[in-house]
Amino acid sequence: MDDLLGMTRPGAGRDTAIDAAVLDQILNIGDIGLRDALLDQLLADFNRIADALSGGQGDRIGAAAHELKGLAATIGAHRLAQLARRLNALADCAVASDLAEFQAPVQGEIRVVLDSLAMHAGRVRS
Amino acid sequence: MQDQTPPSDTVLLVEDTPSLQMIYAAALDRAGYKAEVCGTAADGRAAFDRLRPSVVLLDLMLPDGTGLDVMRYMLSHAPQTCVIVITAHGSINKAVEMMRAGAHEFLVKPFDDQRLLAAIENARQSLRHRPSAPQSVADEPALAPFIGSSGTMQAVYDKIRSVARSMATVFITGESGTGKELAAEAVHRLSARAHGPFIALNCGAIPVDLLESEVFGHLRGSFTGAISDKMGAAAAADGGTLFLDEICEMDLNLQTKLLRFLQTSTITPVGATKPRKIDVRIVCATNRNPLDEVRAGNFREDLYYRLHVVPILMPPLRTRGEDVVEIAERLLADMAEEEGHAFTGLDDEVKALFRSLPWPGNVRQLINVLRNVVVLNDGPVVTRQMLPPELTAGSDAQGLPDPATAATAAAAAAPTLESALAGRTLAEVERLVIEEAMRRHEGSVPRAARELDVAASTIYRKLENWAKRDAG
Repeated sequence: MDDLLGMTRPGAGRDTAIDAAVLDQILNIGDIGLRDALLDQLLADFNRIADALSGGQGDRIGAAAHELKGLAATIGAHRLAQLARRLNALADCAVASDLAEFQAPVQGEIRVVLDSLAMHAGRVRS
Repeated sequence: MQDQTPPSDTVLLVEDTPSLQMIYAAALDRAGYKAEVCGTAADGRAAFDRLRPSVVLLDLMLPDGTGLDVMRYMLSHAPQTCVIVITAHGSINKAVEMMRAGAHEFLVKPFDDQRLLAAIENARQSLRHRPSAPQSVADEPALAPFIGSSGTMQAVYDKIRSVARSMATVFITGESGTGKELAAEAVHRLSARAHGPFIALNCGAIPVDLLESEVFGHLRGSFTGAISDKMGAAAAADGGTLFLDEICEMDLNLQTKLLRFLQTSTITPVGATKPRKIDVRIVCATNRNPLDEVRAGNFREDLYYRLHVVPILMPPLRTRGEDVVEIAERLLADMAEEEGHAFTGLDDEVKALFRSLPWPGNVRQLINVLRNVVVLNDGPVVTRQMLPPELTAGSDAQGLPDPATAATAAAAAAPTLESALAGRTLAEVERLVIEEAMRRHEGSVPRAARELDVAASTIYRKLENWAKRDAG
């Protein structure tokens, strides 16, 4: 039901934010150097998108949500990808005040994904 | 302005998200491909001009422009380029627009490296099988085996040539007898899959209970009568093209399975537990209006949008101007040779009459008329007296107008036909034609089927459906 409403589950944690099998497959596509660089870049990209969402107007939010849905889906952040899809669709037709209501759960889920990525980075680098 | 710079083996990747650039570039690198990576439309164009890559991976949305604009730029400079569009879930409509504009294939994020590499390999294979020098369209009045060089058909030939180079699904519509299967074969023959099989399946001619097995195959013992394993049409078309004719006749349950097949490129034969991956291009056709069928609940909307990527409308014979005479003369020569009769052509009266007739059965009806003429007469010129009486019935009282009269009749017949068909859907026109044929044959389905050159079972099935709809 939570997914149907497009909201992050209150108890949703870092452990369920990213499908570990998908992320591992991506991180193991090259050598350790590439893995570390990719983890850094993912953190940078999600932070950049979060900034774009918080300060943007309709068009910019739409573009950020579009980028987010592809990136999130690629690393196995399925919940975030779904929220981004919803926000992307709304950005095409909703007014700014309505969008704000849907941005909050997306921003929240980005933070969860960032935490999860940071934890993953710490684990694989240790 | 096209240029002659030889294409490079380097794959050009235009993607604006840095981490996705890294992931795709790493996958390409691991598979041994040399890649050039750009993050903007401007950089993509500049790299394209510098490298002239034969394969481009192109994101749909870029910070300084759209993928569509970038692709148009690339194809205008090097039409042979295979552009693989990368898109996010929910942007399928835009991806379809890209396919119509000439993209080779599209990948929906997320996709794994195997899918990415398979798309690139498909593109490279397509380039290897493509003619080295593009043929001059202007030198070819018709696309064989079609006959006719009218403007409406030239547009069809152009569309077939353009779509053949991509992997896009083709949806052919048109009245019965307009050449939908010929168009499907032409798409296959001009594509990179021409060396693979072309498998045609008429969904309307196979009982619903057997259709799943015909499409996806079955294992021995999976149902009563399955005495041995059977390879379905989809597996038989692996590496080639699967043509699904009369697609709107497909049962709704099987439509669900077809949709899954299109989404996953896997089939599960009846009785099997494991799916099997296959590589097939789908071309489908119907003589109905597919959107009407969607609205009526007979055809899944999601399947419609999945299949209706590049539509091709085959024009009815009555709208093809001089084509009817050109086709008739060519067919007459072939049939005369086969039958050993010395026909040299049509007289002016017959030509004028042919131009004026509505040809509800289209080219198929014209073929039947000519066969009848050639078999029953010796030649040398086809005259009106040689034509089957039902063809000329109602033309005028004497049945023998002079050419001028026939030309006038042509002008008069058009509005009559127009008024009879105006506002009707293809399905309604089809019903009119079948009911009219049955009336001419005093209700005999087999004789009407023979005249219309369709299976009697097709007419029986349609009658049953109409009766159900009329009752409901």
